[in-house]
Amino acid sequence: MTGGTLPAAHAAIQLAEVQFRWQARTPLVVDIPQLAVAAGERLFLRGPSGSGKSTLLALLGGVVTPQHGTVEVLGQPLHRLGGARRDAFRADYIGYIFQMFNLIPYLSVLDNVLLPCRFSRRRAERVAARGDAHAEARRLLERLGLGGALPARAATELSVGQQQRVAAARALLGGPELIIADEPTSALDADHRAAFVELLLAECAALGSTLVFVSHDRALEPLFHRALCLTELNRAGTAAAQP
Amino acid sequence: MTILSLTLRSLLNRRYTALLTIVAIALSTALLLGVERLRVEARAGFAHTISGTDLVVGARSGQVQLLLYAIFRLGNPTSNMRWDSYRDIARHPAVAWSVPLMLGDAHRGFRVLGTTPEYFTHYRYGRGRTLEFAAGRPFADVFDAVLGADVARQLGYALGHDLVISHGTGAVSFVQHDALPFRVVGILAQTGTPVDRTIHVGLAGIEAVHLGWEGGAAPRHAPTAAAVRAMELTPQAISAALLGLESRLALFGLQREIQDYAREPLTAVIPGVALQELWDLMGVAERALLAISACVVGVGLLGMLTAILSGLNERRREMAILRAVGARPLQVFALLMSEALLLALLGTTLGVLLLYGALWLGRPLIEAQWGLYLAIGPLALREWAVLALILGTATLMGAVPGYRAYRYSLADGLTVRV
Amino acid sequence: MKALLLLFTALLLLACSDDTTTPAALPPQQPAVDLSHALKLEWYELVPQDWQPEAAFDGLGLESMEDDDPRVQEMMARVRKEWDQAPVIAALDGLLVKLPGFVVPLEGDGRSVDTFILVPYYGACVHVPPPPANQTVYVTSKEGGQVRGLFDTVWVIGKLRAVAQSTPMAQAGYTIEALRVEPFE
Repeated sequence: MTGGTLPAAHAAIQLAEVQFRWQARTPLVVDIPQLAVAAGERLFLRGPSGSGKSTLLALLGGVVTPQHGTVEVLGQPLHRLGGARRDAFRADYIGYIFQMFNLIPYLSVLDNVLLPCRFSRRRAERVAARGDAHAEARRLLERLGLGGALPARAATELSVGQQQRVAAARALLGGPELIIADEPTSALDADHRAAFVELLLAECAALGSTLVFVSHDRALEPLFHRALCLTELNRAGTAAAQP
Repeated sequence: MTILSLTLRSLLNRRYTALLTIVAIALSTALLLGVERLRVEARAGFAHTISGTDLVVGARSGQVQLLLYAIFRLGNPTSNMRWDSYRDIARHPAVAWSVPLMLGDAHRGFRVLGTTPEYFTHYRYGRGRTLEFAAGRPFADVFDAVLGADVARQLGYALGHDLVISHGTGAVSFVQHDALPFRVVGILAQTGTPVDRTIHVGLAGIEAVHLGWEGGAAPRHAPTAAAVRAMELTPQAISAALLGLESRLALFGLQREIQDYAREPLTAVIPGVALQELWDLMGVAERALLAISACVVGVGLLGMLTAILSGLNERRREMAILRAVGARPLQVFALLMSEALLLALLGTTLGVLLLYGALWLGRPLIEAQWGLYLAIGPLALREWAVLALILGTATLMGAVPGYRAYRYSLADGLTVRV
Repeated sequence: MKALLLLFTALLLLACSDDTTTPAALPPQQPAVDLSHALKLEWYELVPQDWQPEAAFDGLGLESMEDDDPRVQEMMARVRKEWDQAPVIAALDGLLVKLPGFVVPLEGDGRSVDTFILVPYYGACVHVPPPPANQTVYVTSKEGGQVRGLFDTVWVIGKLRAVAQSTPMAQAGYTIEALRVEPFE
């Protein structure tokens, strides 16, 4: 199954002939001939460790640029932008959820959620357009089941499941166009997994954001529009180990 | 502002380590500033002790030594100069005024100075300030005494009080001149010089006290006060003399004449010059002390650097998160540099507070012990520069972990090999 | 970055300097006396052409005597007397001059010296008699120039007074009311 192509106007993500290696003279880690994700699509990316998924996410987030090929996110040619512009782009348009340890330990839950607004004026403005930033953050947290006294507590006082939901709230604040989730449910137990994903999907649908969800839990696959297997997508394959 | 508030919260999270670092920097800053202050104040204190006296003359001895015991009441004269020599020199046409000084006795630890009433008019201190009386008048009778301000205050003496002079300069003497007590007739106003800790009596008074002591031991039968007053009490020898000249250009000439005086080996000291020699002597020790203090500050800052660097590895995750929400690598760099700056800022501020606290507490003690008055004024320009230098160094040091964090966040990207 | 480094260096130099005066006590600006017109003097110019200090030694035969010979003392006393009356050049009185020399401090406050005697040579040793009166200058300085201390070399710029005859008010000799005292480079 290939990534496919889409007319530019509808593509949130468009990769073509992308090749990437971390260091010269090491094998390619990512070699993707094609990948297209539509705007508003919710994509499930399946792949074991070593299949290059972290690197792919780094490329999508603009953290690194490929040595060959084009990476277009939300119409922006990331492969041609400088480091500072890519950082700014990421701050403005992308929300990121890690597998674990998502939160800054010395900030409160609320301050963690509000972090993107500190680094991106666009996100701050979009939040402000809906009202007060704090209120908006609380609203999001409540939608994710974290209301009450929780927002004021220190991030370290929460359970893993709660922390993941806070991370989701942070990624969603200000309605960024693209949400990237890197195995967000791996640290959760089975009961909470489905609940988390459903919440996340519901919010993305409400905001109209594109979601790229990476996981090896196939049980979640049906909840998504499309599922891709990274080993089939990435010619560099399973052998490529991360540097 | 974002970076600064993040830094603040981050430090609060590690408050115990941060506090230790701050205290280390504070102590070293206080030490450096304190050493410098003490040096400057000591010099000012010495310089302010005497003014307007052109030459100090005494039996042959080192310049600094003569100055120290004659003016600062530190140390003891090894021998005296003859009264005849003093009279001879006082009569010299170049000399405008002269005041003889006789030292060697004490009362409860305070030195007794035998001199003439001219002392109160000719002795100057600070920038030409004269001695003033807070109460009473100069001595006139053989047994009159004038107290320095500290003597009166610490011993609780008032006008009319009786006191007994002991032989020697100890606080306690086993031989008192009980038979002939002195009476307080005057108390001087505060000067901030060794004058405050001195008891002044006439030369005749000192002679009276030593009547019958020629054998070096106490006399069996002491004369009565009335009998003493009737005696001829011109001294045979004095410890030193202060001279004022008609014109200061004659200074070198007269100094040379006195040094070459045929009848007795004498030393004539120009106070300003002797003080400068004293400071040159102390200069080496002062500079060494300053260098050591500077090193202590360096150690304190290195401690800060170590603390920040050692915690860096655990914070790679934190930096990846910040990168993910849009922080640029340079912002991560700034985060760590501002941490060093903030620690140093808090440290130096606390250090200045410690300094003033120590000065405030220590001032009365130092004054009582050494007669050194420490002015507690605001920070001088140079002290501000030293503080700014400490802050600057700390910030530069912060560039080291800053750079490492910068490299980490570039290499780690959004994933971290924790 | 460069600006920061420069600032850092400047602070370092300032901190290491010996200047500990506070900025608050800036002296009031003098009415503009143009110091660049000060006449630069050499020490020999303070001595009248026809007066030779060495002349006092003529015929005394000092070279053949030991230092501690009592006759030496007597003769030195005589020489001293003559040198104390060393004449001044009246024409120099009232001039704005600039004179370099070594400082013998008299009054100060530990940071700066505001009254001193300026001499033409370094140190004073027992074998050589102190300079004659017209080779010493009594200097007062309101600002207390940054003279660090004994035998510092400075330029003194100010109004020179040359008094020929001793009066009850002033002795014969040179005095300068210094407008500026600068280190000698």
